[in-house]
Amino acid sequence: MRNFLIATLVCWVLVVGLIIQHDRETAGPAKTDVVGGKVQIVFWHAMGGPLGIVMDDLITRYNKSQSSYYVKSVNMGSYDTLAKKVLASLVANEAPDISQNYETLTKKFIKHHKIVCLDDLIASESEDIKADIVPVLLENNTFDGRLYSFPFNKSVPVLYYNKNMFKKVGLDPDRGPDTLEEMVEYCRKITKYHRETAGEDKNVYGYGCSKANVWGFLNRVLQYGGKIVSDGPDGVMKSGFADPAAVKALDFLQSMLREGLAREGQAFDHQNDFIAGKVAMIESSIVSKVFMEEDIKNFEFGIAPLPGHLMVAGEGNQPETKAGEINRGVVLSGSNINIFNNGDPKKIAGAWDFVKWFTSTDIGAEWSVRTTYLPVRKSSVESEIVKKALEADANLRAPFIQLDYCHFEPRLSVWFEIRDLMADHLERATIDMGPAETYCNEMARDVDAILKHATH
Amino acid sequence: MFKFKHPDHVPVHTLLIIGSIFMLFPFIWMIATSFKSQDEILSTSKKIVLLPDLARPGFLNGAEEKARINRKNDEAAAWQAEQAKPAAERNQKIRAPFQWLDNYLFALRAQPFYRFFLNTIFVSITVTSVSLFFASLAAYAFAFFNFPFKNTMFMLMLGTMMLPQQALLIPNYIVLSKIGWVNSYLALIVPWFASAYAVFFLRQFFMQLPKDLFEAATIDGCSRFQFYYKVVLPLSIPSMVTLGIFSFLANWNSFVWPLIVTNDTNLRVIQVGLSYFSSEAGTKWGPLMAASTMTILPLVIGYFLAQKQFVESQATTGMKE
Repeated sequence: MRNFLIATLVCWVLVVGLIIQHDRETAGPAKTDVVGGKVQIVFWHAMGGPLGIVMDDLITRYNKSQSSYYVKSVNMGSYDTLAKKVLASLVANEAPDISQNYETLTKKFIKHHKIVCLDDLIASESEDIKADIVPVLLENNTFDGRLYSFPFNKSVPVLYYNKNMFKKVGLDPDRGPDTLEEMVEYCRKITKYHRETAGEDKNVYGYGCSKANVWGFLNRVLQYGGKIVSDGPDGVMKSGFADPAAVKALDFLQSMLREGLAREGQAFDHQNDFIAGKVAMIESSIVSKVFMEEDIKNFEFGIAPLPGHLMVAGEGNQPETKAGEINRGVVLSGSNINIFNNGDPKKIAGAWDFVKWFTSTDIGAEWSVRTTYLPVRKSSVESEIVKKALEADANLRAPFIQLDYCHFEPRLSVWFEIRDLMADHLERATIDMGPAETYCNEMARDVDAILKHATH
Repeated sequence: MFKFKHPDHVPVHTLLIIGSIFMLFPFIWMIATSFKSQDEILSTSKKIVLLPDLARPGFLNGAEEKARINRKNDEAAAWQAEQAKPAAERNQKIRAPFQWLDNYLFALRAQPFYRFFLNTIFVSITVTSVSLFFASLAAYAFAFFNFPFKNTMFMLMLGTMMLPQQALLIPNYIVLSKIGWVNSYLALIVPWFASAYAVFFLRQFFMQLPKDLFEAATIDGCSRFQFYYKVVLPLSIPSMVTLGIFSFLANWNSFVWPLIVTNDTNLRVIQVGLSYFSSEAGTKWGPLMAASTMTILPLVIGYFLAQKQFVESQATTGMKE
């Protein structure tokens, strides 16, 4: 026993020594505000993996590019963790200077005066920055007419498809299906081919999707011309889930499953199925491209805009959709950055300087090309960097085609709760396989009950 | 014919062997996965392939095996051709073929795992030793002495065990932030110095020690503290060890608390580091399993090294009534 205790003690002393040594090498857990004469700006984010590497690379470049500020990047792991940490830090008055956040949180921050209004910072700039932001992203970050957060890493869902399978069944490997109806045809061909051809894996499906996928459902609702949430005549918000568009959206998925064209999995199963060559097409965020490129080795994959719905006269209730046009409506995902009001004007100025730099035309374009996130500025979209990259890599083009069709989810604090509720109904719909109207009506009823008490 | 030395042990041992296979399977799977490439992990094959893709001639059928080897050779050739080019002209998409240690190297490079390990070891050892010391002192008092409100205090202390950790998370965090401990080692360590469970556990054990020992020692001139460290502690080594293992494992595996109270990468513990391999765009199973293997390795090695000590200490605690 004594030997064991001595060994433990030795181990402890050794570890403490190594920690002290490592702290010296890495400048330690800096609580200081000034590093080497520069004002330190603490930036909390959730960018890990290959995307995080790109971001840290850009941050290093920023730190070298000027002598007033030093941005310290702190990775919090996941968005979920980040949100929890930010909320906790605000309670403790230990908030970072900048962080990534969803819009639903931004609203809370505004209410409690925790973040800086960007309009005031933009006002002192000579350039008209607001006019250059992609309209849907600007709208997404504007609250009561004022810009409070800056779009940072916004992404769209796209269609990934297996070019080798397309070739096998005689489909053009350089383009994806344009409409949902066309996609069903593609799925039939691919599924049938694998069922009937000797020597092929009989378990290959045309389409892979995940159970209770709210994102996918909302995209479909938009494509059929529906609305997610709208203001009723009495000022009470109402969901559009009992409308024909939503019923069609759910029915589309159910029909594919019923016909045996699609395979449903949990969470990221569909993505893994695609990588493993078990399904020919999946819907996933464009950001997954970077990961797919690392993981897919046995076939070539293509990325196409999500197939849309060919609008018929009188269909749908979005004012901007016209009959005879393909509606490619998609829901944006990803986050924005907030600048926290920590009471130090120097830090706020530094935070703004960094945000401005990161989203400037060329840096924004580079960020977009290297990570596939949407560029924030119109000038980035038209920049040479983006043009060249799109020419070199056809798989990068889809988000730019979808840019004009982007919508965002309601920025309500109850929205996460609603999403969970929707997921339950969607899951039931594909397990029980009853008529789509039933689930849609029930979903609308439950969601409206929450919306009744929600405020903008 | 083969003869069993103890035929009556056969059924029990068979059961135990089957049980241990069930228990070990996840670990074996984890270790096997840590040596596989992502496409092997997500392989469509219906066979359960435990071994990673090392040189395994004849494992697959002839044609498949040939195709596989060709593919490997092509990959290696493409990679080598790319390496010959000047860096600027290299095609970034052509990557080196998977080597069996790649997941480990990736995991080690992706995060400062070295520091995460140091932090976890430091926190676990400190918390375990200090909390054992405090708990044994408290349990000693509860077991051997009478003082006013003893039972009330004991009940109050037991009451804290009824509160779930989740309920304490926010109040604890706020207390720590008020005293300025958030984002420091103090926050990781100090709140765990007192453990009601440990006090309760040790008190129950101490109560079983005969009171005669205490009286005899007192007559021989032992002070209360001398009795504690000369008699009680040596007699309670088995229970202390058990408790120590529980406490060490709990600290080694703790995730939520370290996540909430630390912001700096240099203060992160290993479990938080593991969570980094799952992101919104999917999970990197290979590196995650490699990192998990590395995480449990010190525990396994530590246990085997210390096992002898534990068994020995248990064997020498018999006493005559």
